[in-house]
Amino acid sequence: MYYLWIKRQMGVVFLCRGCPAGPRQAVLYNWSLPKTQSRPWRAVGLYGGIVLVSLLAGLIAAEAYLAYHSAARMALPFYNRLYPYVMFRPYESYIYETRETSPMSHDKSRVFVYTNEDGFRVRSPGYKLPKEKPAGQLRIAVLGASQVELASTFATTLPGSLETVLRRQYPGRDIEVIDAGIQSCISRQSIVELEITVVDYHPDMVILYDGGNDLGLPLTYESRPNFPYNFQTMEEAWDLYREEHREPLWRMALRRSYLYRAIRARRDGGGRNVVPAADDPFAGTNAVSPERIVKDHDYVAGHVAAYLSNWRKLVELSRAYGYRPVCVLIPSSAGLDANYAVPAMMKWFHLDRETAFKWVRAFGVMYDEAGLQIERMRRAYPEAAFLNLAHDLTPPEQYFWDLAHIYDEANMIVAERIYRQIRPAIESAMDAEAPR
Amino acid sequence: MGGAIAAEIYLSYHAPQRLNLPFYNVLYPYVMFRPLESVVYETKETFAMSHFQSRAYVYTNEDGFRVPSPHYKLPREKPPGQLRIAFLGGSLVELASTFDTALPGSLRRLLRERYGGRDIEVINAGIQSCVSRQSIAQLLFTVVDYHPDIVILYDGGNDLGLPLTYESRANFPYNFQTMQEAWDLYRQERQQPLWRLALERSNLYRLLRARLHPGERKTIPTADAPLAGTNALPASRIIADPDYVRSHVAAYLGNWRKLIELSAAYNYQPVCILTPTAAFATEYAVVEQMKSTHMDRAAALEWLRAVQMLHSEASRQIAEMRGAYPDAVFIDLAHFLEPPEKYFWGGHVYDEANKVLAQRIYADIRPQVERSLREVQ
Repeated sequence: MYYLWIKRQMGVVFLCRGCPAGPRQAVLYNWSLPKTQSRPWRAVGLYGGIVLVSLLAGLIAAEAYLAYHSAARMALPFYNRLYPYVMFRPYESYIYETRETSPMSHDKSRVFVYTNEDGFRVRSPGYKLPKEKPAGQLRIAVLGASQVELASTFATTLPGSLETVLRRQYPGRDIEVIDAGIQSCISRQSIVELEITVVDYHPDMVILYDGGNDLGLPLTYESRPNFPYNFQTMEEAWDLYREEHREPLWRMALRRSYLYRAIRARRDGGGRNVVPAADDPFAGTNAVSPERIVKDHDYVAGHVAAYLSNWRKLVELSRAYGYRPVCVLIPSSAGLDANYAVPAMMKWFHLDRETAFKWVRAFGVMYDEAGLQIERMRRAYPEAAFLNLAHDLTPPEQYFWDLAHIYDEANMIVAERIYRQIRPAIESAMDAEAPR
Repeated sequence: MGGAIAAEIYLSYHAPQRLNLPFYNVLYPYVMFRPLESVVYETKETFAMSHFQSRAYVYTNEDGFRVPSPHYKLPREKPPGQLRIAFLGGSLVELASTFDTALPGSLRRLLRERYGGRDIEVINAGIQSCVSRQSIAQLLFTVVDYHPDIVILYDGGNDLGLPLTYESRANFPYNFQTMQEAWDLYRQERQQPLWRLALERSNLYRLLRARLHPGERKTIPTADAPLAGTNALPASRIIADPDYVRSHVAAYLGNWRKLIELSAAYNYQPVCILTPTAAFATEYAVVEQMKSTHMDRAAALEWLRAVQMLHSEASRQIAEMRGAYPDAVFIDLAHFLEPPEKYFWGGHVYDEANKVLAQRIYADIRPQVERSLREVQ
């Protein structure tokens, strides 16, 4: 039927083997101008077609224009692999060498990352880090997130820098500092990593170097205390998978359409984006507003207490595993120095100036509360060392290359400060381990 | 184009049905999953566990512990003078028709009868489907906040059965591979270009790929594959590989060691129990196995042999561990309950059998119970 219709209307003849009229030779696209007088509906069809095609072209052009001009869409960053209990951790036995230099070395050095079979960052591929501690060795494990795991090389990370400081200070001694950092993790994850992996390496001292993610998460991704930043996404993924819900392709195409988003944004009148985008400061739907953090003291106190419960766990577990516990609140630029933090927030979180100010204030409230609670905890745990380095690196522009991360050489400064404060604990551990 | 569409439709019509992984909990960080919080759930029908005599009544508190009644007060701070025992484990701990007929409830009743006038609380912190590593996480992040005097880890069924059914990576939860898959798919759907997604979903492409890479594993379990987990091992492999059996069991019992190590930090008395199994009563178990997994007799027998091997190795290693931990209590109940009369399905026992088990456990932990009773007074 369609064949006959086309043939009649447009004068186009296709090859047709099964037609009643028998096989014919194809004559393609013998277009002729519509004879408007004799067949007006033919003209309507044709012009309708032209309008449709133009509309489609317009849509594509709008899509392309909007795509070019829209803020970049932010996918949930995820740099690790899923791992049970800890929730995620670095890839195991992994070699990663960049070609380009990175800002953490002032763009002077490339990045060299190697991990062992448990995902700890080690100095070279295949580096031997036996679980059984060699006799006489002083072994320190450093737990934390990107501030522990990352730097251009192992030697310039915080654990590597601490190892350099200690080896310089105690020449001739066997000293090993383990980098058990997991980027993006919070301190509850570090405690799990300690319990199921790190204690197998029998450290004499464990340093928990954290606070950045724990205190920042309510603003960015997740306000449920001690929940990993990606947990809500995991829940969503799990639910969709179990419902066998696979979004139809057309819906996905629609969701990715900039035009559709623009129209929907008009219609919602500023309703919140569900899919995080760079133009929306909240990447996670469980985040809370900076206003809430500034106003709601109970929330802040509760959140900080939940974070510091991991410091308590580190001390409690030391009674089971016989290490010396050290807890450090890391240096921060957010919330402490508005001159540096506001432009940095505008840049990294794509915030406007006013919102960036609110964020800086909210961060400040969180850090102040953490400082207060840490002071109160000292008396309850005399066996532990609690260090608050929040205000230690000023002016920030000298040490920080983004909001939360410091330059390679600044790790050495932090390592020296930590060493000065925990020297008695290190020396007593060293005496206990001294070769006899 | 028309041909491709027709092939797509034909293949999707004939594709084997997708199997759903059973999942009875909610995702929860670190423990990986746990029962829903503050739940009131009363069934209308009766259940096999009570010989179809009783309906099931389930109530949980805000931490997902099963409690005797809705809104039952279980304060984190232990009242002075109270003896508090926490029970960790899988479905064998969590489930029964009522709180009182579950194993912790049965032990509570027994102890309250035995020590009339004393304040005794037994916490049901069981999480169905969990392995003992999950129980350790549950202990560390939730149960220790309740300050128990004795912690009982009652497990082994899931730990020793998992390599055959879902997951052979030691100490991994049964659903972890599915979670990884869900996570990967989710991220893929948000990051891949549409044409790639269309391709991934095409049955025709899947078929062609299977032809081109015959060794590639199926990622989504389907009804034509007998095992729901792609990380499961065939029974023959387990029987032939004693090294695997040894290391799997050692990894499982690593959690018993953790329970003991953590007792130094949290001041409880540790009790580890290997749960009873019906797998040694071959004639009974083989029929059950054929029924529940649609295996033929030979496959079911091989499967049982693998389960028996894992359990025997566990018993052997437990006997060896006793010397290293003189202060802990180890109870091996693998052969304790003779089937068929006590079991209704797999390793699950009838409500009244929990009473028998509670008596048996009490007999072994009596010195610990009495020591704690003296200490808390």
